[in-house]
Amino acid sequence: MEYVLRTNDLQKRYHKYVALDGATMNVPKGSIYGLVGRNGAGKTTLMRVVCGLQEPTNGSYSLYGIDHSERDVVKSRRRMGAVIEKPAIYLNMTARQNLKVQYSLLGLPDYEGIDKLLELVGLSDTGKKKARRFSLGMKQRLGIAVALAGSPDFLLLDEPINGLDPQGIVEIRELILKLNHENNITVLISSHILSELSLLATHYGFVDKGRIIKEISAEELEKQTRKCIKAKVSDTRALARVLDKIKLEYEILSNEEAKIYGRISITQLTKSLMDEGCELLSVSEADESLESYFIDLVGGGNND
Amino acid sequence: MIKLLKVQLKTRLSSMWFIAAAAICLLFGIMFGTGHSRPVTEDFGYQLEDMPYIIAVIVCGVLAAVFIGSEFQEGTVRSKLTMGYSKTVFYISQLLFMLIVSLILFLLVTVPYFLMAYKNFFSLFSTEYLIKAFGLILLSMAGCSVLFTLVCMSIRLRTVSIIICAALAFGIDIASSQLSRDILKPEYTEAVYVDMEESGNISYQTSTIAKSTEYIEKPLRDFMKASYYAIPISGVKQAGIIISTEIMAFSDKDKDKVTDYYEENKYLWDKDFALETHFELWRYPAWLIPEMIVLTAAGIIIFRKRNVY
Repeated sequence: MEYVLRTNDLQKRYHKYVALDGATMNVPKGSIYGLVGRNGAGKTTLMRVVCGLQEPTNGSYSLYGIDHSERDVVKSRRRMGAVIEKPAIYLNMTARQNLKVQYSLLGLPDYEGIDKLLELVGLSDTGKKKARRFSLGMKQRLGIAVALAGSPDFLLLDEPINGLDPQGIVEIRELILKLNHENNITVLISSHILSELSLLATHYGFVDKGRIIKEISAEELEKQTRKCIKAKVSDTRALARVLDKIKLEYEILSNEEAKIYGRISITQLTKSLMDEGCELLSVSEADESLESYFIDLVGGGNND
Repeated sequence: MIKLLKVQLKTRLSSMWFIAAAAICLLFGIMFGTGHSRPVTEDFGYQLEDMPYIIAVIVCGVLAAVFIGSEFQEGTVRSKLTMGYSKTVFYISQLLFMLIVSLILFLLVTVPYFLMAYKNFFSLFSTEYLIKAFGLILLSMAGCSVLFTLVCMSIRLRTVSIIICAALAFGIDIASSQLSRDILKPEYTEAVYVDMEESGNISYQTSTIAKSTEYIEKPLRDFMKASYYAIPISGVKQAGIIISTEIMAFSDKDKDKVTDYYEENKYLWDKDFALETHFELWRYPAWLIPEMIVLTAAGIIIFRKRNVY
């Protein structure tokens, strides 16, 4: 698999405070990588370090395979755009002027593409309106447009939906999906609003106390958070035989426990298990959401 | 670097802040020029005013605070660093931009000043002294820009930077004047005793020379002199003095006349320091240029070490 960004044991300390404590993550090319973690977990610090705004205290990272200590990492940075915390825009300028400035900074020969960018982010009709008069959502979208100038293939978005109204959230979500699907842009997005991330991400990185405690693809996560029945039996081998016969998906968790996916009659299951000489000890419905999965991972509320 | 500088010029020089600052400098240039357009009747007292330039320095400090503070407040510094510009390049581009701004402000003060009072300027001042004086002013303004850039890049908050830069400009102006006054105090003073008759005629007069208690001895004297030359704004003040009409009369060609003048007035001013400030103008760049290099290097190191949020 080709990776756009790889970090290795990345550490960042602010005096005594440890913001990153050995974060290791891999962002596959073409993915929407959701960085999940509570406030203060280290998501923004990780992004700042990757963007070159801050130097890591220890560890390393590579962008498009180029290590951050190499001079050529500057070229890799030109291939990425970022919106960290709040959009970086000139408030006394219009949306078009902001994009022109960005084009000039990038040394692009002409302003071709500005109209397309404005249309992409839905700001083509803002005319002479200065950015300071924009709504939060419009500013956010302009920030994304600025980050997209120069056609980057890697976009970093730090909490892009923070403070947005429901419509703004939908707009940003649709924009990110469009950028990923149509323009094949890899997106690293951080958020603590898990329900929103679950609508976007193809990969997840769970951050806690400055560490990536789990990396998982959306597919795998879906499997792990699927609706299922947790059955406790005296012999899981017998249970496996029964489930194989009735062609149901399952996952053996231990000698006594297993997860069963799909609909099943408890009476029929009990009878079939008795035939195999196995006792059904208990049955419970398990419905793991992304939230509960995350809480299980970070160990509940006593983790601060 | 050029791209960054171009963008800075494009985005900031059209802002309301710069337009207001330019208007203030222009106004003071016209005001002081008008004041100097009247015919000169006295030999003394006609000097290049330092006040409009000191105002330009303060305005320059405020602009540095606004422009550099905005980079951090609006977050545009982040996008520039993210797109691959190094922190050193960013710092130098800000500094170059401020140097250009200080040059523009200098011209905005000087051009109307000259135009309004051109008759007096060209009849009383020699080109050589005008060049020396304006060279000193430009160097001083450049020195102040370096200082303001360092302060604003370190503070990063617009409002706090405005207050600190304005206070700094006032502070160094007061410090420079005070240092100059203190160092100029003579080592010996003359006390004159006069007995007068009822008619008002002097019947008896005598004088005694005594060591002045106000005279500052070495090594403090050397430290104060170094501080005076190191304060960027001292050049502006000195420029005002060296092209005064009285100094014009002395001119470099007639150095003895100046020496004689200060010899005659040695109980009023410290002769050595007075002559030094008139004829050893190299002392200003000799102090200020290395200082500007050190301050810039320090600023870059600090900016590189600190995190950008």
